[in-house]
Amino acid sequence: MARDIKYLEADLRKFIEKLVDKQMLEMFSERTREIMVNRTRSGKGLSKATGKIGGSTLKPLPKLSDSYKLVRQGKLAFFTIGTGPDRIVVPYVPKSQPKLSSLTRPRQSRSNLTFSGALLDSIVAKVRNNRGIVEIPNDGHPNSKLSMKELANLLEQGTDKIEARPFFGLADNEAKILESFIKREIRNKIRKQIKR
Amino acid sequence: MAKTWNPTFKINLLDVLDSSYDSAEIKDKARSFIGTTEFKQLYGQRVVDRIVERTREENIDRFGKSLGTYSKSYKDSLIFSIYGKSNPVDLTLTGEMLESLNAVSGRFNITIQLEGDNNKGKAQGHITGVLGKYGRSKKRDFLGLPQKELTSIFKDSLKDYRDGALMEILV
Repeated sequence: MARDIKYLEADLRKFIEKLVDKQMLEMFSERTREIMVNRTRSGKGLSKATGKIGGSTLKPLPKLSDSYKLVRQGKLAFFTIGTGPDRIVVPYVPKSQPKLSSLTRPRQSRSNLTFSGALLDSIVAKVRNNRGIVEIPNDGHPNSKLSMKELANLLEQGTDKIEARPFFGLADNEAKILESFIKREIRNKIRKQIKR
Repeated sequence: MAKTWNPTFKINLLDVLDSSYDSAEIKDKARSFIGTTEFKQLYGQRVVDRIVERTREENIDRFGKSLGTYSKSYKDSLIFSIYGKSNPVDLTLTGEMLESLNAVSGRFNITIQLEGDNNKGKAQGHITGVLGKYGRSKKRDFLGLPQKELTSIFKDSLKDYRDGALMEILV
C-alpha cells in the first residue's frame, strides 16, 4: 500500500511540474511580490528578517522619528560633513518640499518604507531555472549613495540609531494566502484540461 | 468579551441530488457516490472556488446581484491607492478573507466556512452590512451560490468522479 502512495505522489509531482509552466511561475512570483510590497506600504513589516516565505509574523513597522517626520514634511533637511563615525550632521530648513511618492503621506507617523517609493518599486518578480524568484536588484538608489540591496539590508538589520524594519519575505499568514492562491490556480488549470 | 462570528453556507447533498436529476435510477446510483470523501472533497472545493470567482471576477453576491461600488471616501484613501484597487467591489484587499474559505464535510452535507476569527468577523461584516459598532455599509452576502449553480457544479463533479478525474483533490 505504501508503495502505491509513493507512486501516486511521484505521478502527481510529474503532473504538476508539467502543468506549472513559466507563465504560471511568473504569476506566482508576481503575486508574492505584490503581497509583500502592498503590505509594507500599508505600514506592516515582519517580526524578523527571514528573506523567505513563512517563518515570521506580521508586525507594524516602527514609528518614524520626530526629525524624519519633519524631513518628510519639508520642514527640515540635513547635510553631512565628512564620513564615518566622525561625520558631522548639519540640519537646515529646506527651500523646497521633498518629492514624496503618491503612496505615502507627509504627515503619517508610522513608517511604510516609502519616501520616493524607489526601493519598493525596484523589487522584481521573475523566473530563473524553473523557479519563481522575488529580488531586490543591485541598482543604485536615485537619492542615495547606497544600492537598493544595501539600503534594504540596512533597513532590515537596523543600526544603533535606526530601528530594524524587516519586510522582505512573507509572514506565516501571508504564506497561507499565497498557498491557497497557487492551489486554486492549479485546480482551475486541471479543470480546464479535463474539459478539453 | 468580543462576540465571535461564524458565517457558514451549508449544502445538503441529498437535496442537491434531488434537484439535479428527475430519474429515480440515476438518483439511486448517484447516492452511493456522493457520500464518499473524495466526491465531497471534489464538490466542496469546486463550490469554494466558484464563490471566490463570482466575488472576485464577476463582482456578484450569492444571489447574482452586483456587489456595488466603493464609497468615495474609501476610493480617496491611501490604502485604496496602495492596493491599486479598481472600482467594482471584489471584497479583496489583502485577499486573506476569500483565501481562507474552505469546505468541511459531514455524512451527506458540506459546510463552507472561513478560517480564523479575523476572517470570520470580516465576512460577517460584509454579509450583514454592519461594520464595527456604528458603521453601516451595503450588505454584500457573498457566502453561497444560487441553486442553479450548485446543481450544475454537482453534475459536473459527479461526472468527473465517475470518470476518475480526481487529480485536483490531490493538489
